[in-house]
Amino acid sequence: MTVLQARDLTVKIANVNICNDLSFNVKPGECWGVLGGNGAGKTTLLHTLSGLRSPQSGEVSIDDQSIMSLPVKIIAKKLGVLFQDNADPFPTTVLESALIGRHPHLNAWQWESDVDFEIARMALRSVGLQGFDTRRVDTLSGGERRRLGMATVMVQNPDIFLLDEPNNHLDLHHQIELLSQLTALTKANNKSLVMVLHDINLASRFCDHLLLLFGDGETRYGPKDEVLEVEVLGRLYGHELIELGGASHRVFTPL
Amino acid sequence: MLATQSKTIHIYISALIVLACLSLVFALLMGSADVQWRSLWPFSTSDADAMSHSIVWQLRLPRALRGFVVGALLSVAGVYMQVLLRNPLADPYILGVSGGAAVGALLAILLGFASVVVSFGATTGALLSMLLVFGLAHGRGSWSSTRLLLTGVVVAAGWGAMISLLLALSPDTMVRGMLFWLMGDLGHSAPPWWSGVILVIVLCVSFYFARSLNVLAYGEKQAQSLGVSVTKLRVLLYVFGSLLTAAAVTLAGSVGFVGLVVPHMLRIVGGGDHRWLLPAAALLGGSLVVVADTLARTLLAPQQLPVGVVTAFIGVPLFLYLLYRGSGTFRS
Repeated sequence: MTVLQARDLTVKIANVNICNDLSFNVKPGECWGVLGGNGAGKTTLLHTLSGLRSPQSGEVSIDDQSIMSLPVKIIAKKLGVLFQDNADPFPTTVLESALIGRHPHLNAWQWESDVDFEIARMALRSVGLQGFDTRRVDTLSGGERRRLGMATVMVQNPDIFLLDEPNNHLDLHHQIELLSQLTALTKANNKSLVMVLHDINLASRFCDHLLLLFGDGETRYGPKDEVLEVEVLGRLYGHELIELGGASHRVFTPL
Repeated sequence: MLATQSKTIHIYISALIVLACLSLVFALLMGSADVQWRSLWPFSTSDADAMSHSIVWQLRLPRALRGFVVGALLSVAGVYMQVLLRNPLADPYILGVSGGAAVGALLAILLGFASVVVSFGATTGALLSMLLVFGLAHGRGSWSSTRLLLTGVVVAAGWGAMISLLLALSPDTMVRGMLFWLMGDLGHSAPPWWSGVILVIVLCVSFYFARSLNVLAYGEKQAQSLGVSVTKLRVLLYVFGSLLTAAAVTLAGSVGFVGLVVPHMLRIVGGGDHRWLLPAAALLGGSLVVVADTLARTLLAPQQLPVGVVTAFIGVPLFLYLLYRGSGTFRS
């Protein structure tokens, strides 16, 4: 049970004002979606939440401990990050790549045991990469590489998942499959999930809370039904939208 | 086959140990004087054998060990630099350590000092260059791979110009010796003991962070999010890589090619796990230089070739063969 807290967070990058005095808590079992236009600072905010960069003011904490004061290894056990893109300058195999997720759980002299291999294979299976163990990572397609990145975070098995566009490069089937799996995992194991998304409809279907970044320091967050308004989304993306009546979940489409 | 599985690593490493021993035996037996197998036994001192015994134990063995240590130092430094800069084209010399060493050594040669002072000059130049690049790249805060790489490459280019200047200003009689130093020469150098000690210490310490290097290869942010103290690790890599390179250049000038190609050969054969790569680089790099140096002093005897030329002549076809055969882990 780990709570991610942002307190009076002010984040700026270059001359973009991402958020001013933003405070919110992500509690176990919650799925948060971060929405905003290109360059609004979604990735930068995610990096700030993960402790990879420090905010201009305010702080991020995990269970009331400031993230900047925690050793990286402790953070890595509680908080896992999926980055926007992966670069692999050296050739590796799919299984090796997934296994690095076990790094924070092993001490310096320890070798990966059969248990670790099994954890990695299970994660690969869950993203549909079974049988890919010895495939070279640079022969994977964009979508397969993305799923491998996701498998590595699952191997890491943190309490809080911070995912930067997890559905990027994925086909329709894998998008729905991955997001359903992630939200189910979050609810069942009391994990928390914060993900940057570009698709309002996926966000509305899979997240229970949303955080909108307008790119000028203005932010808006809360339970999704309080945040999802045609007028607000139109302002967020600078493009008019209409809402179509969906009984089970709300659907928005651009005009 | 995954080198991550420790059983596989043991087999591969054992094979490399055998290779290293064979290369040393080859170096002891080959040469302009015929040497019998029995001279390899350290205690046979019958008068008839005294001559070939002393050739083996007092001339060839120290030189072979020197070659081994140089090759090992360069290959391990190559592994460090490649993961530090996350660039497969990085080699031990890319950040200017060898350039600084060369300027120091050439200055000492030009001023007519003995070889001990030349080594001292090389060490001083190498350490100076290491501090210069570190200071400049560290600058204000950020210590990105690109910034470090650019700083190093520019400083190396500066040293390159100084080397050309020194060569142009030197009398003809000295230029040949200087060129040999620049191309790598194991002929007249100091015993390898302290370099060997540095090598062993650095290798032992590196096992402590070898798995962190595997993670660092995926990127700095990725590594930090998996619990690696990236800044500390990178500073350590820089210091170790530079020290090893400095130790190697001081022993034998700049022997080219080994530090670039040995890590890649090993990646092709057994994968990129640094727990395998580091000891294997020491063994294969050492063996390669021992064989190359033996050929360098025997092929056109009594003419001696620069060892750096021979390492490239062996390394290039070997590397291309491995690359095109596409074996081991990397069959796609």
